[in-house]
Amino acid sequence: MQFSEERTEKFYVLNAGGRLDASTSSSFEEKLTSIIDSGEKNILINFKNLDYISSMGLRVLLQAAKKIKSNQGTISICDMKDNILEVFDIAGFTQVFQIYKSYNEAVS
Amino acid sequence: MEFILKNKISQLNKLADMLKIFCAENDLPDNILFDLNLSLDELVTNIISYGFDDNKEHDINISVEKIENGVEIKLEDDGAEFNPLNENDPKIGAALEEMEVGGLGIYFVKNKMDEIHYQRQLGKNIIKLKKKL
Repeated sequence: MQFSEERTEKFYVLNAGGRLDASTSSSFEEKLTSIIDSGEKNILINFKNLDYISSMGLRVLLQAAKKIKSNQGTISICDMKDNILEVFDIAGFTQVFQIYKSYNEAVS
Repeated sequence: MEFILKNKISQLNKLADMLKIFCAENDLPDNILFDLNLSLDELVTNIISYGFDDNKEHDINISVEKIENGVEIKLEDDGAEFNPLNENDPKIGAALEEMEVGGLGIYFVKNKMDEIHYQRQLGKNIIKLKKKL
């Protein structure tokens, strides 16, 4: 996977690209956990360059969402490809995360 | 197409590569590639994570065939007996606090595939899947 981070007025943004499966989920988990542990409360994950996600990726997101909720924070997600959004939908995750169609919609 | 994966999680890359070739050769669109990859990924990840308690190398034999109205898949492994059809579906639509991380993978397979058959034969798990086109 490829990662980069940036700060906007509203969010601390994690750009995560590539394939998120059992072979890469631990690096995604490390990134996300370190951002939460640093005290960020409004995290936006930009999946514009994410090509694939399996249940292992959702597992990391769910654990992170539970963790940040106990700190009164939230995780939002933007720019998901249709196939990935469908996986979120099947899992019921579209009701748990704030989902934005595009990065611009999220940060505006 | 037939290929063998070893019981190492890094083999998920090989799985993705092989399915990409299969779909290109058979003119199958990206959404079918995604569904085939997700279903096989979840089953293979389960086999690698829970199937073996020795530290030896094992083979997971996979065949993927294009048939007239769909794709047929067969997975064979010599790991511990595991029937994915016996797994309970996760609670979907529950509040965040009640959502659980287990069970989602098999739930995806059930959702994406039209047929799933399991048999235990001569010490092997054999899973047959069919995706209609």
